[in-house]
Amino acid sequence: MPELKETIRSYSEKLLNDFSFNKIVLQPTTTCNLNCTYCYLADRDTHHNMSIETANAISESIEKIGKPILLIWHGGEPLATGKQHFINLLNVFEKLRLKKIIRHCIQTNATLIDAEWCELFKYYEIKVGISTDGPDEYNQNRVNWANKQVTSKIMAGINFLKQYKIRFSVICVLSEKHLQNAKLLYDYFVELGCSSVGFNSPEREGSNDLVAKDFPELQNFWKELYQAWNHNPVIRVRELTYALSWIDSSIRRGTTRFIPKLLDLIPTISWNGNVVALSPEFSGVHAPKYENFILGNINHVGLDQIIQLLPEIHYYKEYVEGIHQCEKKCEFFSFCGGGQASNKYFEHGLLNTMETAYCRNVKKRLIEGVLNSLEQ
Amino acid sequence: MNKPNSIEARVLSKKDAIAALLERNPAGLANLRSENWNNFDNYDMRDDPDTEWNNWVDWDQDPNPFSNSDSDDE
Repeated sequence: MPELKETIRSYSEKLLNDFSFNKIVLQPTTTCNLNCTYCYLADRDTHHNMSIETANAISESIEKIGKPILLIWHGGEPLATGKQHFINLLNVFEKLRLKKIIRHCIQTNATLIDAEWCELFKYYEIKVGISTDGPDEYNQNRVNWANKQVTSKIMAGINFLKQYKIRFSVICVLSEKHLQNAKLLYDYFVELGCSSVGFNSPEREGSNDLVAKDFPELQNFWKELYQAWNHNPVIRVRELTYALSWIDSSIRRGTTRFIPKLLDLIPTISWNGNVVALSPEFSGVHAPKYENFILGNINHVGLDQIIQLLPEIHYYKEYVEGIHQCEKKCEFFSFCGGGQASNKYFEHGLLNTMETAYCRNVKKRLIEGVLNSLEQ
Repeated sequence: MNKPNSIEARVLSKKDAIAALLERNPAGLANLRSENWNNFDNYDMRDDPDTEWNNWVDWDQDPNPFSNSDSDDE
């Protein structure tokens, strides 16, 4: 196994010389029909749809890159694009889909799902992810523009998915209220019928006005979540899978000091073709210091060319500097690979920094919680 | 040398606990170590569709990898 010193050198060299991605986040529309309190998107009350010309430019870029890529339709709310225009966008990629060069995923709030959308998901073989935070009393941050809760509409959408036998995953954003009720939440999502659930902690990002905060209670939350899952392991819990994979891999290597898998750049392409990398949350952000994180526009330059510019990009260089610090100093480095660029920026205003509240809440406390469970 | 309470020492001390967990569940073992699910093995491979930002995995592999049931609800 490589010593930590070697790891530092090889990983940083990789980040500056080897650019990897196998997914692209796409914004078919800026619009969202909801106004969730923690949303990071600034323009969700505007209405701009991605044009067919931009979709064509993306498709041509992917064809040139020539490797399998996952297209993640995000938003705004992707279903707020409107069915016909969304179909027109999907049809641009049909040749690539049929050749299995791309496949589609969608992350939706589920409130607009109906029978026609389900037919569409099936026809284009779209993997569906739902954003919901649990039972009604835990779902209070998910509201419409009239500040009304939308749990019943989310459930109606999920019922359509079930009726059409469409598998779905869930992302749940935690609030302080959730933290005392890990078992209740786990049982709820099992009952809901999802295949997988991921838990996001509340984060200071984009246009939301949350304050980055430590939640010491999360350690116990992760521990209780592990216990609930271990008692009835019928669905995947994203964070527990990461933690157990890392622990298992470390045991088999005989060390936790190994090089993590190379960072996925996650290029994110906004409705107008602007490209950002590292974090989808950078899309649409006003950050003059980093030229709003925009690397280029897909309508003018191919994605492969845009990505090759990264070593010269100020924010990417700063991000790599921050990663160096994490490698040298943090014993969790092989687990997290240096943390999320967006959390560093939105918490510290910089990218060449180390630890964030996100690191503590979602990485360190997760591992501690799982280890504590395993020790019992 | 690892300090006894370092994260590394604590992780490595869980060998038996992890083995017991996985022994109960061979499907879980296979998936925990598969490249679609695991960000920590085969670290130079770049075709893993699952990273920490998202929640999309290759459902076709095994929808309920920790379940002992053979049934598939599709």
